[in-house]
Amino acid sequence: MRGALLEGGSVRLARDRIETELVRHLQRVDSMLLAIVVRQIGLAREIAVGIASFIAEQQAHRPFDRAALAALARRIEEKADKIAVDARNEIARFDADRLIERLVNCAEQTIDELEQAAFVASLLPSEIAPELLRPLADVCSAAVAGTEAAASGAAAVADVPEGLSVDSEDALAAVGRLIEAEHKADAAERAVAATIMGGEFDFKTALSVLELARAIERATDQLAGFGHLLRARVLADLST
Amino acid sequence: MDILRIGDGSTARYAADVVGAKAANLARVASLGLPVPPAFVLPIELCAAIVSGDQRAKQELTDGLHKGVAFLEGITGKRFGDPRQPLLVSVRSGAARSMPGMLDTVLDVGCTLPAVHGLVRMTGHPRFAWDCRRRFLESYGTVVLGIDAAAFSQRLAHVVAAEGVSGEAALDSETVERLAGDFQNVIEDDDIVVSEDPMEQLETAAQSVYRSWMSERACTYRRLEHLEDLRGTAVAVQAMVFGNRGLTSGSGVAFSRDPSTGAAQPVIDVLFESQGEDVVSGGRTPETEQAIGRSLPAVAARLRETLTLLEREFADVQDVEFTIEDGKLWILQTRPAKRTPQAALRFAIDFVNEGLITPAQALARVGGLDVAKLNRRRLVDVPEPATQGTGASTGIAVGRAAFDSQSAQRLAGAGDPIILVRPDTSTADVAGFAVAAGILTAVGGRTAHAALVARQMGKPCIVGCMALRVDVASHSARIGESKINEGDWLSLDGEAGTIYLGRGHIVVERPDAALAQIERWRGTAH
Repeated sequence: MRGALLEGGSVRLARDRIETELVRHLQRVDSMLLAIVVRQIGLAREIAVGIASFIAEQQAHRPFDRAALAALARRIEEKADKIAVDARNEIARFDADRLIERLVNCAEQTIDELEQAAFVASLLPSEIAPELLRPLADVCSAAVAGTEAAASGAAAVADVPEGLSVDSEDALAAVGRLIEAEHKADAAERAVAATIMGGEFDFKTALSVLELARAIERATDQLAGFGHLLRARVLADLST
Repeated sequence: MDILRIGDGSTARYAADVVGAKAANLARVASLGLPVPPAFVLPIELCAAIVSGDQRAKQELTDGLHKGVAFLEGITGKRFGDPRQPLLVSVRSGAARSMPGMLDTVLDVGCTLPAVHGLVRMTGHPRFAWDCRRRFLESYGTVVLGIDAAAFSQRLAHVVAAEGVSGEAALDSETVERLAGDFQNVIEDDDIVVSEDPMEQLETAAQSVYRSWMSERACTYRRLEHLEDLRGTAVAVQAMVFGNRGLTSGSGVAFSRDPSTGAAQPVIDVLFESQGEDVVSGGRTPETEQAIGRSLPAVAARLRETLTLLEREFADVQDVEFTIEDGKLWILQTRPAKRTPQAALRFAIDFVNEGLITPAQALARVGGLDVAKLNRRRLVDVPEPATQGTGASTGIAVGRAAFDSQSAQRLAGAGDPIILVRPDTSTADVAGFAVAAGILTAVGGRTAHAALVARQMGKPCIVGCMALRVDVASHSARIGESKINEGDWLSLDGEAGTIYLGRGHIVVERPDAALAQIERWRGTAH
């Protein structure tokens, strides 16, 4: 303000400049924090893709190192936990928007669910009936699509303060895809349950397949929650 | 100065000595209705002027690049360096005659930090976006900024080891993001800042590709292949399509027939979740056509159809670079395949029998072949093979092991034949190829540029020998428990891909039936 006053500007002009600078600073902080959220979601996608690949290989009767998948998921979860802790520290340090912290939490829980799914996948029997693999592939596909929509949406949300309608439109479109992915995963998980209840499967197969589908479906629930938070953030940005 | 536009629906054809063979062929492929990423080409006539530092030529280059980028933006709906819908381009060389791997290419140009953000927005795939960034930094850093490629590969090797994974393909998205930061540090350690202005990236990349005409390996290759009359290279700027986009994406090279043996079967190498350089650089060992057939059967079928179509269009065996992006096949390049003399003879006979060329055309193609090199050679008096790799160029070679080009040249001076043993299949070793009787590498595929060069030189070559561990620094290698020191005898069977320790003996057989056919054509012609 002192600089503006020394240049002969009014107090009001100086205050406007400070407010503009403050908004820019907060936007930069929020962009930095949203980049961390994107990083988390990127890791979630890695696990989802790993599980989808495993199911695809099962369908093709080809070998797959499922223990390596579970180990990869565990390593990613540990890495993601550290990223989440760092993100919360940054949010506290900058006193940033708490909605971003909720996005961090949602992403973290998504990864937890997917890690659980990868662990269950490693315990599946070596041969699974095709009528179970089909809906399992569908639930995996929904999870991959969900993580991609979440990353796209979070990246678009970071651009919304720039004031271009395409950014809010892209962010809201990603929210729509997240909800759609959750619906598809829900339907596929129910198809798994219905097939198991209506068929003659051994206990281990029934339990492990159902647990796998449920864990992935819970991950897409978390992603749908992530979508609701993105929408809230877009609407808040548009109203300012 | 006019730029050539490819992908605008034009069916015009162009002369290779104006726009380069690569662009001329690509325009022809596009005119057939095959999927070619849009591109524009700066002509060969600019090359000498750019190399000499002519300011007017630099201005023409700048103007041409701006016109061309506007064309690509219009046709793709993307914008160069944009944080929402970014356009990335490759900057490729192309002389009037093919010089595989000898001139420079810069990939992923325009991959600024805002563009990385835009790629995440477009795809929801952060690993892919950061992979493009680190590839850009490596490609631009080595070609344009002159940073030693080893600095990047050492960082990569360090990260791979720290993460405890098998290779770069197994790195997770957070690590790839970090690796991109590491690569930026490699550049900044040399007190250089990479411009975040995409047009500046493009201008400097195009100038570097033009200047690569005068690189040592390019000059050596032209001398060896008697191509001194060529006037320079064109520069093609092409919209990137992404083989590293996901599980249903990949990059590969396909030959319409086997360029090593001459068999009438395509030879196809592919690496999923990769970009083209990964295959042709010879730094990774690719998968085969079966891998495409398993996961993308429609693409595998389309690729076979395309190979047949291109072979008929060009009336010759084709070497095709392709990318699969999200299950869609794109053709990036086609050119006549470099081939062994034996393959050349068989192609000529088969093409006449299939009605694709006349006997007169076949005679013109085989007229320059060295009859001595057409003889089939077999190894005798050898023990069981020590190991096996992929045969990339047929023939038998028996010689003393050398582990770099300098040693090969020194040992060759003593009069014994040399086997050049290298960790990867790189065109940087072309001087060593020239003096070697055979080439053996631990990593790389049949379609790597260096394997092409070996075939063209008629040198037996085995690539992707996984059991081979090469330690260039100590001038030695291991195959299992057996150590190979510089000067030790090795024997290679380039057709079977087998490697023998020790000095085998060679039996020579003439391809009498094929040579008799050639003589009958000659008799008819007179």
